[in-house]
Amino acid sequence: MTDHGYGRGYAERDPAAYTRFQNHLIRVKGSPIQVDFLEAAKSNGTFLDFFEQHDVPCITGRSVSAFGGVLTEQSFKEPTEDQERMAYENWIDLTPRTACRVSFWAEVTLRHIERGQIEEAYWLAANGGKTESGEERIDRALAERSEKRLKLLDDCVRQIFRRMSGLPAARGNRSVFVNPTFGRAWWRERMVSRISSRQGVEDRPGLLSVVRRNQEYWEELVKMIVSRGSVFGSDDVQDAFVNSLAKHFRLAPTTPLKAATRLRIALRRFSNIAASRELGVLEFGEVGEVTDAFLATLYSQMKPAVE
Amino acid sequence: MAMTVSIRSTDGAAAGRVVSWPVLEAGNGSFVDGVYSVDLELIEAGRSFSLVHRVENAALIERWILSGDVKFVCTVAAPVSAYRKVHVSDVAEQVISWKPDDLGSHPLFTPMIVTAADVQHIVDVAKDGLDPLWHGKILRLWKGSKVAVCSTFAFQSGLLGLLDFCLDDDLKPGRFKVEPNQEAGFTFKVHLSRDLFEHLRHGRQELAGRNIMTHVVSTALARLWLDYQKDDDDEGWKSYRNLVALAELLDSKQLAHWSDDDFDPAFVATELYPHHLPAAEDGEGG
Repeated sequence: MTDHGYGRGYAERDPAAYTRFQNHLIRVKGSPIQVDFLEAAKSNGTFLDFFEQHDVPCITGRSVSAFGGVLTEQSFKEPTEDQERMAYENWIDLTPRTACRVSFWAEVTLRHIERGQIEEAYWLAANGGKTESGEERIDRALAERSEKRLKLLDDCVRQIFRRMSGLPAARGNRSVFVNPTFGRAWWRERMVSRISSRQGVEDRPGLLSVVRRNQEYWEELVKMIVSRGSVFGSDDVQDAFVNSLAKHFRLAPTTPLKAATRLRIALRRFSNIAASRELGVLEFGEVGEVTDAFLATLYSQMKPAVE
Repeated sequence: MAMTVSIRSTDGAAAGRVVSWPVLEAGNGSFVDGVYSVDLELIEAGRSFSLVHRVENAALIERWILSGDVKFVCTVAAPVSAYRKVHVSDVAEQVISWKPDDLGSHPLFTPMIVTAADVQHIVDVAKDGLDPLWHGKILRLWKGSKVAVCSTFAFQSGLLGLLDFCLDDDLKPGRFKVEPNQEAGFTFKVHLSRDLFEHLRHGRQELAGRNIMTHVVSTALARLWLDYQKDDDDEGWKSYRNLVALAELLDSKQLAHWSDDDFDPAFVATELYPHHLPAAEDGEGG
């Protein structure tokens, strides 16, 4: 029998059952099951039971330790730099093959709800930039009677999945790097820690100014790393590029490259270079020379950012 | 296990890049009759293999190999876990290994040959094995420039390779169900009743086993049709490389896939794995 076995070892929600559950929940906007799910999210016990009732069991395995810090609804939505670092250091033994699994982060989040460290399951529904709480957002969607109702309900359901684990069926495989609070913290801090450990790189605040610039900016970087056929996946190339960006931000504080839309253009152009040249054979310092020169050239060609 | 992966400059695929130097790759006619092959020998399943690069009918690259002006490279990539490592060798034979803990799915391998340093060269087509269009051109290559690129390959392919069978004692005899699994690059978890599970363990190639497999494949395709029709590049099913490979496989056989309006799961499944009937007994129909 085939054993795909990638990532097994830590406790996680049954991957196929969780996939089915996510697909079922997002298939029809405003469906009765979406309403039930959102009602359930207003109570921790009911929310946890909902997964059991819909046959999304936990596959037993090694459990991860609890996040060491104190979380609030706001900090769970937008963890601080220190909290992200704490999360990574807390789970530093995780391997990439585990950390790229939505079913793993789903289980981690549910355990934190069970332990009360995520005090209310409805925190998962809170929207990024809005001041509205998760509970208020759910209530607003449930109370809505206009034609907006279906979309509001669907948005809440998707937000819960994104923050809990990622939602690859709707967001692609980058979702696990970008959306779940804990997963994003792990991947982002892993990158910063790895670059910081190299010789002659920018300081930690400088690197954080790139990867934590905003959600969209991080997402653009991740897109290039996890997209099919990406030449940006090599650690040396990723690290050199991010380090060069941090240096560029320091030297040119008003650079247009601080806009995610400009970063997207830059990454596309850079991928053209890397498509004809295997930068992975260069020493890290040599790659850095290439990325520095690339950004300097691009900067000289760009008009000031509108954003 | 040994195998060879090979590309010819005359292969139909369009080269994916436009560069200012000749590259030996499928669909790029610069090296007119060039062939780039790699011989693979498995060392440890799921962890390592040996690789020997071979170049034929591409005199310029063959000379660069002899003079040590190029390096032999194989990239190992599992984008789903942000993994990409570049293995570099000065000689044509190299060992490629990886740690499964770093990978979230089966890895993809791309062999290539790159320049070891910056190179400048004036083309003489008589000596270099290049198309006459290149004659007299001055080539300037940076260190790491790709001069030969092979096909990307994996040690797992096809729809059957995506099926993950498991025993489900909750199912009554003769039942199965198929669930998509978005982990590990995308697979299908096939729940089987005990009798089907036992039969498929040993009898997948037998008549009933083959027909059950066809039914399973049809069901898996129907699940894709139900939940993964949306075709938004990195937003939808195309973010799963296993599904991209499967779609390419169906395209190559001129079959519709789950994003196409005329997709018919049963038809596609039976095109890939036709049903078989009992052979006529001796004396019957004679």
